[in-house]
Amino acid sequence: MHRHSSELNTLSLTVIGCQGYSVMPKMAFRGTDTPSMDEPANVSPERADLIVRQFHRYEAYFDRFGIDRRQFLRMIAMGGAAAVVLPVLEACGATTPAEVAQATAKPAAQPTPAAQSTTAPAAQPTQAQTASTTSTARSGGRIIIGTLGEAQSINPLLANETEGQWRDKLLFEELVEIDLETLKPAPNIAKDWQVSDDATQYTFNLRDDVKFSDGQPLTANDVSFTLHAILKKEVASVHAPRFNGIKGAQQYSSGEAQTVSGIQVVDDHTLKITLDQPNAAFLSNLRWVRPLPKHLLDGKDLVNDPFYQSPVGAGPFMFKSWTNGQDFVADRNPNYWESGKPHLDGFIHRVIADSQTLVIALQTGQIEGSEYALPTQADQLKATGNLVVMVKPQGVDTNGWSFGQKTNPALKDPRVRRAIAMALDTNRFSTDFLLGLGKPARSPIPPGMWAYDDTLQPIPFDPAQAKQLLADAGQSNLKVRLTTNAGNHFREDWVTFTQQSLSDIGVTVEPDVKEWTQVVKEGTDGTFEMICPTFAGVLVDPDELYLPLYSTSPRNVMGYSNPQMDQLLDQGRQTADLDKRKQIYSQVQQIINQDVSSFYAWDRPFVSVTSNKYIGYKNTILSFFNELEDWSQA
Amino acid sequence: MTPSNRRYLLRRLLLLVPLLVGLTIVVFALIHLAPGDPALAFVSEGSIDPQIVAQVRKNLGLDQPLPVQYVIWISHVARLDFGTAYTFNGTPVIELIEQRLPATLVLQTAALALSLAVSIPLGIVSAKKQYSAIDNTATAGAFLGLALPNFWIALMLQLLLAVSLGWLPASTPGTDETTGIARLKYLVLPVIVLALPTLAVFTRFVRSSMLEVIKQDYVTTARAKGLSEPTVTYRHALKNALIPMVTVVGTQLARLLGGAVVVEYIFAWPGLGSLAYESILKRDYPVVLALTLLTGAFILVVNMLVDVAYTLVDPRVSFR
Repeated sequence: MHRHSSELNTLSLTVIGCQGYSVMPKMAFRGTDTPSMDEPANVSPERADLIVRQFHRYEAYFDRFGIDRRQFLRMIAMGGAAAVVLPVLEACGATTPAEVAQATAKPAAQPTPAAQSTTAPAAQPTQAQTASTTSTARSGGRIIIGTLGEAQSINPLLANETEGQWRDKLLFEELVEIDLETLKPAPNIAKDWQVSDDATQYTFNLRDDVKFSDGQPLTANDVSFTLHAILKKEVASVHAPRFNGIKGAQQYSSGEAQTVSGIQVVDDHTLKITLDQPNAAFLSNLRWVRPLPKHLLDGKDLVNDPFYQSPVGAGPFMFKSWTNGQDFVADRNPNYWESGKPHLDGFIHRVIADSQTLVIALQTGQIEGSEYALPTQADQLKATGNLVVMVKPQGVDTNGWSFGQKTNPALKDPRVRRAIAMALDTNRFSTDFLLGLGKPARSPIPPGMWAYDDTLQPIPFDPAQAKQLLADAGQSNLKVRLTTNAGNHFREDWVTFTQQSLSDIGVTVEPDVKEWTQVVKEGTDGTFEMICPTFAGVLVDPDELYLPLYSTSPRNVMGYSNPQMDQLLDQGRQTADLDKRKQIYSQVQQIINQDVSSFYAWDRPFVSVTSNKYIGYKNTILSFFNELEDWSQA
Repeated sequence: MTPSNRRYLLRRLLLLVPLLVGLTIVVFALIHLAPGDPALAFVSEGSIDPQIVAQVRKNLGLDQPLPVQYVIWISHVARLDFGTAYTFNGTPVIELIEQRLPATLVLQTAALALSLAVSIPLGIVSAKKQYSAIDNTATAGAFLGLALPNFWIALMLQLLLAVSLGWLPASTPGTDETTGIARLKYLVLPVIVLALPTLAVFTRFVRSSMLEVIKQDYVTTARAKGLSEPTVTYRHALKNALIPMVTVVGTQLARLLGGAVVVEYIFAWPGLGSLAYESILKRDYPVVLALTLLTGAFILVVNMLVDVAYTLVDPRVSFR
């Protein structure tokens, strides 16, 4: 009542005081006089009382009918506006349960302050750009690593591209790892091994303290299970060709046998593998065996099981979440066998749209490390002040031309191939197009590797001689088609450069720059004439040259055939003596240089970038973040 | 709803199914015609083995003749099983779409809201002050907005506002520490780019519609009665002018789910558009087909709803 009277007083004052514009709804005054616009400002008290009584009636009417039409319409309008604005707010306001969990889980996952890591290697690293962790490495921190390509799969049986394979390594752990400095096989899950005298029997002793992230111990059964999974035909694992040499592998693949006779589980921590023939690269190949938990996958679909949506592995990090196209989040694995590691709480692998955005993200700290910054942006990144920028050692990605002898018969003649190589000035290409950051190459083997032959002479740049060779081979009117993938501007420049250089010696060139999947198809089918990438390179073991170069190999898509090469390749894999192998592969490289089965022209430059917050990295030809378990905050 | 309207609605609903089936057949044929083999996504530069490729093709069911593949796929879809993606780590397609759908909805709703919020007042002003400076600017702007390709506008805005001036971020990060209002800044550029063409269309429409309505007799009557100008404009003229807008907004709404592939890609917005782009590049057939089906169904349903809404909004219209 009190409220009403004060309202009424205010209202009567308003009516009397205002110039006459009525704000009262017309409905309430149905049948009564509407105060007109010409009403004099001063109203007599009787008139004021009348108006006040009319207001009472209005209120009564309002009470009877509840809400009126105009109010209803106003409500609809506001509701509509809210419906439009809410999604926008929702986008910004929502903290997903994952983020909340992360925020609350962080303090819980802090390890004890006394981090017991003795990771200082006994032998001093010779690499100039190394920062090794001290024995009291700080614990904590979650590094954000940027990548340009999203991983396709984190199934260790299927992952076939760098991102997926890197994640696999950190989630599942390799049976045998590659030492970053010597690029030779080193103990990991397999703590040591004995090789029989005839080099066909390997006995592996596994560590007994390796556990999966769910706490279950990793045994030789899991390793055997994984090897069988790789060899299973239905799985179509990319790594199957590497292990076809195991005794009984073919029979198992074809379904004749239930198990592989050459894989023998002696006890929980001992595994014996027998090969059909000696193979020096077998140990290096074992880095692709990343044990899957048999207790979770036995009898399941090894390709499609939902296990792979949130996998369990024995690696230093365990899977947390993965939003495809955005962030892949992993946490420290509390059950990791190397105590005190990883020092970091976890990592985030973030997909960035393009290289320009990547650079901006590095500069603003949105990501803290990447391998994909363009070398041309190295200076810009260094200028930021808080980034460590290193050029990767040469040989990560050797480019040039592979010759498809089956498709273009003119290329069967080594003189023609040599002529083409001689017409290309790789020094000029490196300085002009790679800006001196990438260097000319001479061999499919990276220069830092033990097998590299540093006595190799580069193929000289001599267009006159090239023309002569073509004339000698009777191919003065040669026509070739160059294939490469669109989107890789180094390779696209290489095509232009080649076109120019070759037309200078009278060769007609048809450039064919296309989409990656189509390039791979040509590379697989062997329907290319000249193709870059070469599909015939070496990263870890020179035996990788076997499949593309051996004359009867099913993957010899180039159609290259040289009996001497075959012999050398066979010898190279049969002996484990490093010196002997070095000599053999030296000869292999000399033959490649002479025969030019593929022309290895230039090495693509890469830079590794990391925030200076972190230490523990090593700059090698393998992935910069390969041993993330060694990293820690500075 | 009148019986005739109900019959119409039912007929439209029944027509949906054969239309969708026809759509899927066309898309299925087209995607398989494109060169490129999805099985090759499972090999890498260093390890290409023809036997493995053959086995992968078998696993994916690609060695069957096309009609058989189609029948297998459609029979799964009838049970609402859209399969798992070839790439994307074998995630079920439904999950992929679920992950990306909210982002697209937010983007498109904001763009639609922005264009409506700007175009309606602009159109009204254009109509009331025809041929004035404002009207001419708005018209020229509308034609520019329609004529300029949206990727060019996107890149120019990115260059100007993000790279040169640094006012706004150039693209969307995946997830980062900012939440709440701070995340709104990632929405600004893509929404502007998306809103421009629809803004142009709506402005022109509102303008011409208003021009037509303003000349009507009832508007003159309302003014003669002594109603205020805002009342005449909004309560009488605009309400009637907006009736044909229902159709126009409906068609733009139908484009909602299609996702703006180019804009999402340029700004790295994690929505259905960029999912479609990635899966087409990788020849990930299950994802492409599911997205097409979803978008097609959405467009057909929205068009149907617009037709029905039209009858509700305009009492003069009904279906026989």
